[in-house]
Amino acid sequence: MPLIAPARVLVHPSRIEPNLIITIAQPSGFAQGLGGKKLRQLLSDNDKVVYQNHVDVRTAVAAQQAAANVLPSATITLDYIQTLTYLIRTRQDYNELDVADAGEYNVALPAAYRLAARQGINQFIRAAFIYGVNASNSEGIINTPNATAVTLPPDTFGDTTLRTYDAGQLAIWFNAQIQYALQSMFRLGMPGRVVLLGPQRIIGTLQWQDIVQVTSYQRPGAGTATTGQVVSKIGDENDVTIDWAYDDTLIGKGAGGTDAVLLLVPEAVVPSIPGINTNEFAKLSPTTDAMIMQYTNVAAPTEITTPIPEGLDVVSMQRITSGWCPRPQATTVLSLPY
Amino acid sequence: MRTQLEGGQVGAGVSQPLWGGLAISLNVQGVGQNSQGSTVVPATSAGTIDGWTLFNQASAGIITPSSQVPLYAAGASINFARNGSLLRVAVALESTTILNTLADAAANVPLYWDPVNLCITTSASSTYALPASAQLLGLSATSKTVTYSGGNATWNAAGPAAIIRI
Repeated sequence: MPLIAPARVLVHPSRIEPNLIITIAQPSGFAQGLGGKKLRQLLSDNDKVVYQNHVDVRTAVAAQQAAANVLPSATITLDYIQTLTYLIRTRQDYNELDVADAGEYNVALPAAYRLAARQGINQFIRAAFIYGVNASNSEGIINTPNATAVTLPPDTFGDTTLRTYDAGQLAIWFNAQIQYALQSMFRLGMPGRVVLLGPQRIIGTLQWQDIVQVTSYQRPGAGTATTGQVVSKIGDENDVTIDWAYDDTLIGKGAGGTDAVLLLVPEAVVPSIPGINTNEFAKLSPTTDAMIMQYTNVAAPTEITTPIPEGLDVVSMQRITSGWCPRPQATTVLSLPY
Repeated sequence: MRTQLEGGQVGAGVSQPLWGGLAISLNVQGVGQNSQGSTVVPATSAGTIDGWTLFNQASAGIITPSSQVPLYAAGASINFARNGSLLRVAVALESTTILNTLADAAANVPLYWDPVNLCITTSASSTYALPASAQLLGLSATSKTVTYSGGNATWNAAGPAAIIRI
């Protein structure tokens, strides 16, 4: 990975603009989909695997008008699940001649290399979150075992692609998917947060172009609001925040080459009701409200700088897990033909 | 239950690990080697069903994230209940169809152990009849049963099962 800082031919007199034109990459919104919107910084530097214990209960009672002594009992089954950790590493070697060459372009090479290393590591963390380091291990949110996967059905006019789809029907379809996700977690009627993580061309179309068409009957947002605004507004009215997040790597990652949009419910309070609570067992603690997780050992990559003959060696590293969704109800993979 | 729960050792020649709810044959250990309890091997005929393996308190069973049912390999300690102990034991049923045919059955309905699928059935073909003293007590369509494949045993979260008294 060389530094390419060639000598330039310049006309005299001339003026060199000091500011740089830097290649811009998409700042992915994947972290919106994590419980608490951030990685769980709980790993030790050398942890190879993350485990989580799982409790299952089956209850049984006898109910008779008089008492007897042969009674059934509850069965509590304990087991555990795992996800692997991966150490991401990258190395930069340079010396004072490289620093001088980059300086000719107004680039501070140590800072440039540090940011380049972080960007590479951060992009890998994003890929690990969505797609997993090893997909065949069911790693990555899009590979969550038993997650719901839905493909956009044709609207009543037979339109199948996002660009032609009826905007009002699209809003109702999105609201239906959000409802199904929440009701599978017994969370209807509770405040919460839902994340829609998808490519800009999908989310953007929902937010900017798809104004709900006026029809002969009244429907939400007709003539005034976009599909995205209708979804957000109805979410607000139900105390559910809709977070729109963008990641263009999801283009073509849906079923049959369509674009994928991940519908995530990153946090879940344990559903409960005052008095006779048929979910009483879930009061057992400790439990977590984070439904979608990714672990790390450090908030930013560790850097190890070593003098080498005639230069410096900088290794950047960070240990992470793939995106992990132990409860498949928290993930819905929507496939939308663009 | 507690005073009738026995501990034993899986026989050295048992190639496929055992789990709870299996029909087993019991052998005494060698002279002076009683400390580990009876030797437990799978039943090989109707006449050799001496008892049933149990998960109760048998925490020496091994699980992994991909094999979440406790398994007891040759040489491991395992718990069991002996026929005649009158304990109630939960056992897997072959299918929901069998479950439905057993609804409203008499407690002494003839039951059979399927040594291939490792579950209770009502068919006498290639199966072992349970001792006549075994009684059917109850049925559940959504119990937890065991699926064994390729060395891994996983829970089937909604499998048909029966409670029998042995």
